[in-house]
Amino acid sequence: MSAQRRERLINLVQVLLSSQQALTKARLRDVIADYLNSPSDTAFERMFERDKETLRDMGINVQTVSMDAWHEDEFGYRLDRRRATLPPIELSAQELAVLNIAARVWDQAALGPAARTALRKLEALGPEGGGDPRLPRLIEPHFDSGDESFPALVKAITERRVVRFKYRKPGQVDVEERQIQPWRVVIRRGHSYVTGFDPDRMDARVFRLSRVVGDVTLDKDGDSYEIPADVDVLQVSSDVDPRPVQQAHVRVRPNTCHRLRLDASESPGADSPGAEIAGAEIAGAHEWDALVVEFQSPESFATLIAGFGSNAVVDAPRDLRDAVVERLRSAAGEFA
Amino acid sequence: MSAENELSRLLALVPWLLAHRDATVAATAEHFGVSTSRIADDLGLLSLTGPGWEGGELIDIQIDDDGYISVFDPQALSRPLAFTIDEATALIVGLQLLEQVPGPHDPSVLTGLSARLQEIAGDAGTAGSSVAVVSEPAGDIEATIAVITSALTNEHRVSLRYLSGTRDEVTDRDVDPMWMFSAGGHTYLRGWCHRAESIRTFRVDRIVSASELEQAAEPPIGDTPIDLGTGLLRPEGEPVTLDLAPSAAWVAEAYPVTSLERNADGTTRVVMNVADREWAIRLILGLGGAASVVDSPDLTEAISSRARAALALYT
Repeated sequence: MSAQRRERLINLVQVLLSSQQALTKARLRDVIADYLNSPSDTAFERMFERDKETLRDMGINVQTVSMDAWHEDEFGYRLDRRRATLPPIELSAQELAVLNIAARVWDQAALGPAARTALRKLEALGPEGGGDPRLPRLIEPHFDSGDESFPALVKAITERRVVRFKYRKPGQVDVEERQIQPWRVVIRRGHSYVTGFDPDRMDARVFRLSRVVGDVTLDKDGDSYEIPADVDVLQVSSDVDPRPVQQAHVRVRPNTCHRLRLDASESPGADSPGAEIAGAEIAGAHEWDALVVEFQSPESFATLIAGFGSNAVVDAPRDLRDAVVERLRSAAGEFA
Repeated sequence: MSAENELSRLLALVPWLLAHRDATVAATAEHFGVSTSRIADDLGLLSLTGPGWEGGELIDIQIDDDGYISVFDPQALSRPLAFTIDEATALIVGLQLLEQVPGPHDPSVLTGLSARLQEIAGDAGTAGSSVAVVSEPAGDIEATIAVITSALTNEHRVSLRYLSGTRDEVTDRDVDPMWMFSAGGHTYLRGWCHRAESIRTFRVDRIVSASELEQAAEPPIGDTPIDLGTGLLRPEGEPVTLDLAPSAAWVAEAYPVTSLERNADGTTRVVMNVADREWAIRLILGLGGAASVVDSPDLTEAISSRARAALALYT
């Protein structure tokens, strides 16, 4: 953006903020040099429309009002001072410090710049100095990248606008064109999802934001659907395995399979899973340690155990044992 | 920096300067994260503007010889502009996420703050309700977090028994804790590792046991920014090409891949950078036939010979 255009926009904001009444285009053209100097009416109109749009993208909504009951095509433009500026708020230095951490959540994410400008606005209202931006003893949540669509989806939900995007399911190369009426962005275990109604499939759907490819486009029309009052964010975003927790009996070689030991509820001759490591020198004294480990997904647990090769053997349950053997067979067979 | 950011900095400058009347050009530049010459340009531009109403009032900005900035006539820009949807969302959702993390802070402070922010955010504040944060109990790592939190409070060293992320190996390390963060569903500790003699990132769920020591922690001041995306997964290493069956397709999402193509038989061909060969062998062996190595005969042989050795135990 050129310095000239920035100057014009800053002037436009100040002109609108300092006037009690709505101003007509003609009046605006009188007081803003670029508008006055524009070569034609069309050029001025275009410039003004573009400026309004830039301001709207920044959250500054220039309202259009009818100026004259008799001439409906005579419009005025205004910025409601109360709605356009931030009301006063008293913030302690500690609260500002907490807000600093809340803003840092987005350091490497799509809302990072917005978080920083929001803080600056608050700092212009609050006490001097920002306090210590890193409070000790607090775990700082951070957003991972891959959430570029987050701001667009929040905007769409706020304005009830249908969204379209390209979606790639895990491990697939091709992308699908999807459209939904978005209901809620859900953050769970550090990942973000969007839930909504899919009119093509006539059902609720959930999408992981990191699988959205490219930009999300918002339909022009707002208020185009309603969000059901009883959206169960837990249910729609749930990737919790509904299967029961089972216990596996696994034998592991001493000083190996530490990942299994970490999860083991029982391991012999020790009250902590790692304790037998201290006795590694006498490892020859016994060939196996018996572990009891809880698991929920036989597939992923079998994958973990098979990966340890001859350092781990499943004794029970039977189907887990079979699943491990099947993996080992195909690994051996395929590579033989 | 986008054009909108430039403009929003210009609009934020005057109210911030009014609230910080002893600000210098240098301090202002630091606060806004731009160069001093940029701030000087901004101030120059602002002093050319004004409501231009009745006789062209302009903002009056002066910089004295010591660099102190004075704003005499803020015109219509004395108050910060209202939050945009993005700004309100960033802070309100940020607070919601903070509420979820374990720690000694008082959660009611956060809830109260969130409510007050929503109030001043007006229309934009409703954006907060477009986002839901699902809380998860800390579970197994709660006890470890308590030990680290206490050590951070007392500025004590901790002794960790830590499971390596790539090798099947547990090591004992003395660590001077610096800070904790969560990302991608995991909680991490940053601290000075006396074994590695450098700052290290530890995933808290891989800490087998932790104890607080009597010794004072002496971590270095400040920390280098960490890349939360690929940085935690260490993508550097040797490229390995794999064909993944649909049941192993999750691998392409769980680990960084540098290329992704579809094979005619419905499998997916990916190239992964493997920093640790042992790790790759365990992963591919565990996947059984669902993943096969395309371009490394010795890796292929290592996997199949391990599979045969393991099968011998089941007969």
